[in-house]
Amino acid sequence: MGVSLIWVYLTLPIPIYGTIWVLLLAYMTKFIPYGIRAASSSMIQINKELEEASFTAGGTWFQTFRKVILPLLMPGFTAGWIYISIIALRELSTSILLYSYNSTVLSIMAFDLWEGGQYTYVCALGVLMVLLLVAMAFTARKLGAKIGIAE
Amino acid sequence: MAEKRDMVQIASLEKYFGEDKERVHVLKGVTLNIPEGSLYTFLGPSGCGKTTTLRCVAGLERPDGGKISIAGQTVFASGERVYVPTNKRPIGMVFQSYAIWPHMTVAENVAYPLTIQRRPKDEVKRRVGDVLKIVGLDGLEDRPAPKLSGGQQQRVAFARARQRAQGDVAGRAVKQS
Repeated sequence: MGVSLIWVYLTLPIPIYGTIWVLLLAYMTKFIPYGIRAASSSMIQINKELEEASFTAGGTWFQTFRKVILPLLMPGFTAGWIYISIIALRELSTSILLYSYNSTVLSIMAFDLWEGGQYTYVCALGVLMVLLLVAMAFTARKLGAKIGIAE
Repeated sequence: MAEKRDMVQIASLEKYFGEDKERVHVLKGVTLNIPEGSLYTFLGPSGCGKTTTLRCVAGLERPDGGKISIAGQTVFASGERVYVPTNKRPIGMVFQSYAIWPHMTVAENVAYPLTIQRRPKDEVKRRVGDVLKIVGLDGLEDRPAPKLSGGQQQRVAFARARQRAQGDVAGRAVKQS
């Protein structure tokens, strides 16, 4: 995955290799399937009649999307976004091949410190990351539970 | 008025479901006229096409043949390739599942047909209040819609359908146990 991305962005005449943008692109490529899963599962949960009710009430397609579908999808989408940021935050295998000195992500930082033998720093960083991830996971869970009761 | 005009006219309506071998002929030339101001009931066993007929009138299902007009306006005619989309038909509908939007309050649900037409706020408030009084749900305006009993949800759905159907067709596919 990382190697193929290096190969693509070194050959393509887009000057993003070695910047933070190549990491963004890599994460997007890698996590799109997770995003689609989260999105489609929340779409399945919406009863078709909820849409049709909006049409029979005189709503256009756009009004139906904005006022009915989107608000119902939002909790599921947000939960998906948080879930993806959680796995992206601790992603190492792709980042390690694509990072540079001005785009060091947390997982790379931890790896560097560990290689440099600064175990105390690694521990401190690890604790901070765990706390952050726990907070995010908790929010995601709460949002996920919320769509559960919405019919 | 000597003679009441027909509100809904359905002429030789045809509808198939499924493809090829599993093709089922559901509506076989349904023809009926419903005069203005009358109450009409479809009665029949499960799967005989009651809901399908209603969905064709609402425009949620596209018939394979025939003609439908509502209040004198042709909304579907297979020969002339007329097809008016659901949101442009003068109808109101109560769904079998009631289809109450769970992210809105009772008042927001009932106000929806008016707010999307950008009616003035005081008119919306007045009409929502009026119709909720009719169905006996006044005082529950700010209750989240899913926190109602089944019967109350049904009344919200009816109130919502009525908003747009002032004097028009209020089709109703209600399943009563």
